Amino acid sequence: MKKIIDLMGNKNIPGMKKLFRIMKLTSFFLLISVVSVLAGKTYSQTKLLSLNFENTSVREVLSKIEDQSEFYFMYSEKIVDVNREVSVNIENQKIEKVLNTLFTGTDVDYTVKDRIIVLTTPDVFDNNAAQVAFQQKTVSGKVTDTDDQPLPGVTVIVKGTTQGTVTNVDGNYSLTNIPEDAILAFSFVGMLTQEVEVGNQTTIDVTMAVDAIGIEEVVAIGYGTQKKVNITGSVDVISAEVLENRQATTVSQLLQGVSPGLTFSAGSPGFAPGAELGIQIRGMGSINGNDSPYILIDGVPGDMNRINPDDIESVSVLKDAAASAIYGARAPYGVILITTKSGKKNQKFSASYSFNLSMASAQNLPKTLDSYTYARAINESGVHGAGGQYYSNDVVDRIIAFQEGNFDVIRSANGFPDDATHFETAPNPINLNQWGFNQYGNANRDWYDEYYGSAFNKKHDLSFQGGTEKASFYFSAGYLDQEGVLNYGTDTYDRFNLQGKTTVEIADWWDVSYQTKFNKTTREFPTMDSQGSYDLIFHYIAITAPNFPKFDGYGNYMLHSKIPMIENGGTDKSEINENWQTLSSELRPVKELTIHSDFSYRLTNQFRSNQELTVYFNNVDHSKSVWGPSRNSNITNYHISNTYWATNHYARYEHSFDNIHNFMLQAGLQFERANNRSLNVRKLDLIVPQVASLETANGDAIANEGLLTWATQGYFGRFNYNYKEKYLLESNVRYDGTSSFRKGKRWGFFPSFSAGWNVYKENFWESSIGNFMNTFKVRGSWGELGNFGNPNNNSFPDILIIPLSSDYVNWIFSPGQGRPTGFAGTPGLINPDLTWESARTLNIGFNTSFFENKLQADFDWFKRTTFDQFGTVEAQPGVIGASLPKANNVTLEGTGWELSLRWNQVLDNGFSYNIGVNVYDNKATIKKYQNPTGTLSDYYEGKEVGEIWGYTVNDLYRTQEELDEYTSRVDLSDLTGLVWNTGDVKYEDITNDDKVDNGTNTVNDHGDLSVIGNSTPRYQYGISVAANYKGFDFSMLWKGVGKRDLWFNGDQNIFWGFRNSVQGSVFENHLDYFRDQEGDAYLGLAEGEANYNLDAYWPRPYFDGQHNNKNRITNTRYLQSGAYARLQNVQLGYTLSKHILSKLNMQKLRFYVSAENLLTFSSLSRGIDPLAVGSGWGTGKTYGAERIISVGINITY
Amino acid sequence: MTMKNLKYLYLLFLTTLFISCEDFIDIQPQDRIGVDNYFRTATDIEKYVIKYYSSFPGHGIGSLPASEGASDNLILATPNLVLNGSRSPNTGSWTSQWSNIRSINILFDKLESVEDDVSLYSQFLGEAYFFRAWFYFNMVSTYGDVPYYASAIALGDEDQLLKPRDPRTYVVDQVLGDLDNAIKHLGLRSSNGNSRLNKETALAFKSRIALFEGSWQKYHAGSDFGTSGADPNKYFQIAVEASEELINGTAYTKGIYSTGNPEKDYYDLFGKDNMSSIDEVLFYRIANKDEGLGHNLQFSLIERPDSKAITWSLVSSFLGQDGNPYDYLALAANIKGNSFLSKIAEDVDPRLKSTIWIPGDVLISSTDQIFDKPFLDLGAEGRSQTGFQVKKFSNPDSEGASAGYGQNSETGRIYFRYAEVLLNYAEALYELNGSLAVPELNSIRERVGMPDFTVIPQSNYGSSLVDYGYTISDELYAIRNERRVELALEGFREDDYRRWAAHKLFQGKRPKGYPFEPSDFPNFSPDLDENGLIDFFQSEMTDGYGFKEDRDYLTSIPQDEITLNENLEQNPGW
Repeated sequence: MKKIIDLMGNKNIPGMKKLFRIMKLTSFFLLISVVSVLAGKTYSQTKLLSLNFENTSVREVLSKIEDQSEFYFMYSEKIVDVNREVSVNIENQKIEKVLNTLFTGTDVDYTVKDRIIVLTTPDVFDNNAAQVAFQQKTVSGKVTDTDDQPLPGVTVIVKGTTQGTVTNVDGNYSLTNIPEDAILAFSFVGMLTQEVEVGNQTTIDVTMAVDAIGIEEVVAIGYGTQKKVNITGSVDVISAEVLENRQATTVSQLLQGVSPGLTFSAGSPGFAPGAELGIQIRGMGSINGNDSPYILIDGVPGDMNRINPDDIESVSVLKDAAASAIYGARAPYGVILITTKSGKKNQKFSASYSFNLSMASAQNLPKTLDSYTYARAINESGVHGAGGQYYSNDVVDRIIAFQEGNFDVIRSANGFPDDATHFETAPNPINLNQWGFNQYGNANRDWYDEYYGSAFNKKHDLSFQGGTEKASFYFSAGYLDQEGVLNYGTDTYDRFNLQGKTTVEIADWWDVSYQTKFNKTTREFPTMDSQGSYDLIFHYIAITAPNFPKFDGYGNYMLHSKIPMIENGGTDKSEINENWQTLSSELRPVKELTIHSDFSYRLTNQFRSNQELTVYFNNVDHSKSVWGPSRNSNITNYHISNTYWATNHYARYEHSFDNIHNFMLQAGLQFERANNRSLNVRKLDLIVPQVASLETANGDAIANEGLLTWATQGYFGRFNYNYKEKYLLESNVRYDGTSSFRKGKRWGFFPSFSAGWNVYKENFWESSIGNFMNTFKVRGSWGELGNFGNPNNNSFPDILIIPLSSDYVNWIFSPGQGRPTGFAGTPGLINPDLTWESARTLNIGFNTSFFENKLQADFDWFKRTTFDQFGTVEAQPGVIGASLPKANNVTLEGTGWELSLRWNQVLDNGFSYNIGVNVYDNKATIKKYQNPTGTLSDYYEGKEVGEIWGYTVNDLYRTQEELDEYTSRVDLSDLTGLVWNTGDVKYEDITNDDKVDNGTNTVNDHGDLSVIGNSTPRYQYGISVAANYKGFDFSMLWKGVGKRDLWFNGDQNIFWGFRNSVQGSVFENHLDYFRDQEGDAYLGLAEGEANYNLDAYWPRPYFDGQHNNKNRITNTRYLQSGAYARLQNVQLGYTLSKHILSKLNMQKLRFYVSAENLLTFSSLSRGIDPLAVGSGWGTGKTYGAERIISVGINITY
Repeated sequence: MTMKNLKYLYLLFLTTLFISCEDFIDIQPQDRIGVDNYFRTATDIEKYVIKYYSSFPGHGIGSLPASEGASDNLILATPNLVLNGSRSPNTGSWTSQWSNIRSINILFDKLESVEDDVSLYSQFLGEAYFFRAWFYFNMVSTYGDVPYYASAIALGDEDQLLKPRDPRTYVVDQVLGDLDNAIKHLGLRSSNGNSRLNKETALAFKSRIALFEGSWQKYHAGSDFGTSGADPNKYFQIAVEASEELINGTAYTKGIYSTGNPEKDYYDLFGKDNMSSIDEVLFYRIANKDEGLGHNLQFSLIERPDSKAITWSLVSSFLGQDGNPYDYLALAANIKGNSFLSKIAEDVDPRLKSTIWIPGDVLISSTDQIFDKPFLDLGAEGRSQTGFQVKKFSNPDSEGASAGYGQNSETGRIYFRYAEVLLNYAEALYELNGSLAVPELNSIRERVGMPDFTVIPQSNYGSSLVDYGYTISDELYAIRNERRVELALEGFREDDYRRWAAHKLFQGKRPKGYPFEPSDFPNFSPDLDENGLIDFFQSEMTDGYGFKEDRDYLTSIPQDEITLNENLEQNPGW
């Protein structure tokens, strides 16, 4: 926090600009409150200093004093010669003595007000107004803020001259020799500049208002930076604060809720260790899925999830075409610019260390049933024409006995060995040498409880930064160690980041920077011996019934607990090493011209080893057998190497005609080339699983290689004009070429235009509504961008490729021989004319602030039309025999709005707080699509994306009479040929044609189907609250979705419970199912008529997929709401006061406790996370957002 | 050089960057080639064709016996949708069903570019013809008339895309033509072995298709499923000729597997892992768990029937050991449960005890696990609900028998065996000219020690007589009955009742099980019919199977396809 504040606020001082750039309002408030808190104490009378310097500049000495103490110096280099070299040798002296020594023989005077020391000379400033020695007119006064607090350090300049001064610690100033027609300009960072005509006044007191928009706030935009006030596009800036001290591991997770317009989606692994969320800016842009924003890290495209969130200084989200147009064909769906931290010139050296220890645990787990209840419910589901009981009466008897601790019953089972010690199962009656599983188990386990535990995670971050007059640096290292919450299996993620940045001023017209980043991430998870992907674990947990044994009779893990597969089946370990180097130069050959060049090279190496190890189970006779589905132990090693280089060169010329007409012209070019190589080798028959390598496997090697090079070439330009920062105009153009399309189809031109009007700068404003509405800017933009999709997937559309595989054919020609290897697949259909898809965006918005800038509001309305999108060519008769190729024939239109409100206030007692709310809405509609018949199984013109078509259902058939009456009248044969029973779902005949059907399943003939909901998340919002008081800080961040409908298919057992065979998961919430028969000890939930449950929520369950599915055709009754609100983060911290810190020789020490995902409000069934709804294995079968409680410390020296 | 000059050099460098050409982004594929560069050598063709072998069905979860669930031989946990007339019309598209046809047509389109001499790729070409026949026959069998394409359809070729269906007679003729080419080009089994397509297999397939088509045309004549220009005898003739070629041709490897042990030979044939030296097996799939090609068959037969259960109808079609009909129902009135099973095992055609488990049978040799009674009372997975539990294809001695759940079985899956050809021949010959292929039928019976084939008056069958829904001769009844017994659970029954238009075999009837004996299961009581037979679908299917004879013989063409091509006519009844 401590800075030598140059009171001249001169824009020509480079360090100053950067300082102001990062100075957010909050830190400004903090400074002010520190000043006011510290005022009135007698620090200067007590603090003793020791200094020993030979021939050192005054600047350096002052800086050292600041290091040793809490003193702040305020001075102007124009009046105080700080480059003068001095020698001092002082032991334990008060500050006044030190200053006397330093400035002996100069005319420098000083004023010490506790910790604030203002250096002046009699030329410009006389501390004692009574001692006026000249005849000229003198003007003096006091500058205060809106809370009547004196403002020290305000620059006061006589306009049009270099004459000026700064206010002292009491906010007082005095200027001599002032002509009457002079205009005084008062300026201070973060405050609105004020100009006052002197006239005949001699005392001019000024109250300065906070400038909420931050006049000097500069934000990162494409290929440069821009003053926020002059921006005409839609740009949102996220400061580092929201990313700091958080426990969610990756940047994509951390961005949830902090900016309007972002939509997040979780992949199949959900929130597994190291999880990366998918991000869309302003919703769905492409029906092909590749609509994620273009992500640039310090100007180089990269994966935001591999960098250390602690290295981030700011994140700019460029949303409309005007903001992102300069990226042409890469950025139709917005841009996220991540700027990492840098050192600043003349910045004092500082070192920071942070440590965070967190404990993660799962939340919202389903409530499982005891095994007896479970068995009876499952048995009941089997009797209704669905194949009879699943658990035989004998097994149910054993389940009861086990729960009662009556192990003799189990001991008496056929073949139960005498030496057994565990009683969760008996030998399988059909194969007495094997322990019974599935329908033979009699255990009583809560598998969620068994599998889920907690994990301790650690995060360390260390950084150094600083700068001299000619150079600056930032070095950092971070380490993160994360574990999954499951009790079994290796499920880890760790990340190591190293970053270094240096900038050297080689000449006063030439800066050169060099930056290097090294990221290493390691992810390891169980392969479960090739049984499936990572998310299979969650499917397994869900379908492991409570009666399944964990242990066999001897206490070995049963295979059907799945524990041996997870523990012993091998792991998949991926290690990604990423090395970036960027060399850049900024040349200023003549005034107002800057030439930037950079060259970046990134090497990403991925080493992945996938082992599938043989899993064994234990037999009743103590022997071991290989579990059937288990593979021979094998290993596949992947080496994937991607090199990417890019070079950007651009020149910028800025010129201002008298600060009235301001021009900026920029032109540049970019080249990129990427080379992707992958090689993987698989070998069967590992000799020993402990040493898993290709060398130690006996089988044949099967090798696959992938080679791909792509390149782009682009030219861009920007023209920018403003009239007195009042009327703003900008245009961007880009001309892009890519290797992904054939000659003649590979170049695209992308223009954008935008304009803005800072209405509040008009003269009428101040006098009319300027009192309460402080600022108001309207802006509009139009532009077109291109998209060539992911270059890695989308190459050579003009060549009919024959897919060659070096893998095995699933056939053996002769016994004893292996499978033949190598075969040629079938070429697909192609469309050689494939080219760019384009996005056209119209954006209208305003920025405004009220009540002395305490309230700020930003609003944007947008329409984004993505046309020439890749769609399939017109639907073709199936005899074509292949999936249809893509063509540029789809138009999708997204419209929506974003609103962001922020309230900032500092109370007199030093309590400061801010509240931010952002709301965003978006919907996308298909405007053009090849589906002439309008079949509902595909997109069609006019379709709102996310639409859910379904039948109307109000009720179940509660009685046989009701059922007979309805089914005799209404033909339901289009839904199913199966018999209807009481408790089944009654599909309404809304067309009153005596049948329930889907017509021809087209838009114009959809029978009884109607749009019953929409799965697009609507009204997404984020709420942030932060407060500071006396060293305590509190913050919280909520993220939510206002409206969303979800339909879960009939085989989604976590939602529906009953399924078929062993694929069901009956939990407590599923017990409210329809029952109209008497129960007994073996089936039903209660004996006799007590079993009846005629007004049930759930339909009659079956132990059969087809029967269940007839009740699970998409309908209104079981449509779910995906709306939710989640407390992403809540944090409480305490920062030690400067007073204590100075004794520890520290700049900052903060302790905090923090929690991620502490609360989630959602109406979805337990077990279903509202963001990570499901995986490839189905609804709820993924790693839900875990609750992480953590403690941490931040130290800065 | 001074710093100032550096500036100009740098500016010069930037200028050169602007003068760059498009070569920078003109990049060619590095790891793949276009179709136009393929199909040059015999190896190219082989690599292209062998992938289709994987499309033959496997043996997983007892897929072969389970497939008979679509017939009157077997039931599963719920009534079969086709037999019960409870299918709903197909929605969506049938693109995926045409993908193999398109794929193989690409090969035929590209044959001209092959540079090697045809002698070098004759086998692969034969395979290609075989596969195309295989793919199209599946389409005809499913949909009846289908549009026929001999080359891959190009996008935008509306003449082809919007073509109406070709009559099944036309399509079958093309299929038979492809098979003639396959027979011509494929190598003999003696050189190829019986896990690679061979001449013998192509001949057998030809007899199968021709018999199917001949009987379809004959028995559906006049119905909605008939075809104008039907000429059943043409196809019976082809079936006879193809069979005779195989039967009489000396170059062919074929035979009936027999070691002289009538009690075991028939059973052993289906449970073997290695079938390469069995002459009867013309073509089969080798399973190998080390290669990831194991399956679950033994587990499914021995431990987990998963509600697969043989019907009374199949069991009662086995003749007595003396070659005469056996009165099962009369026996069931007195002897029930385990005793019933043991009794019929003694009394009837030995193939029955190779087909269903009999109490006392060894389930797993390595642990001496004995089958003591049917798995009637177990949960749905472990259960076989009729008491007639599937035994055919099992092998208690195999490793897979004891290994439990998983892909542990290595039992081969037979696609073509010689006995089928003999039965095809016998049926086709009789249909063609009323002749009986007695020596051929006897060679099948001989293996199991049954008396020679004789024609028994249908009146002698008593309660075991099945109703085809129309009158047939005693000879044909006997031939069909022999076929049902010999090929039980091998996946033929569904095609058989369809080509015979014999829905009366099951329509309006419920499949029954064995006579239940309560003392075998003190704790369990299934639904029984008036004869004391297990009546598993009693409450679910009160009126018996609801097969709709004017609809259910063919599958509906998917809705979208008819919308996209108005020239496609929907199948009858849909």
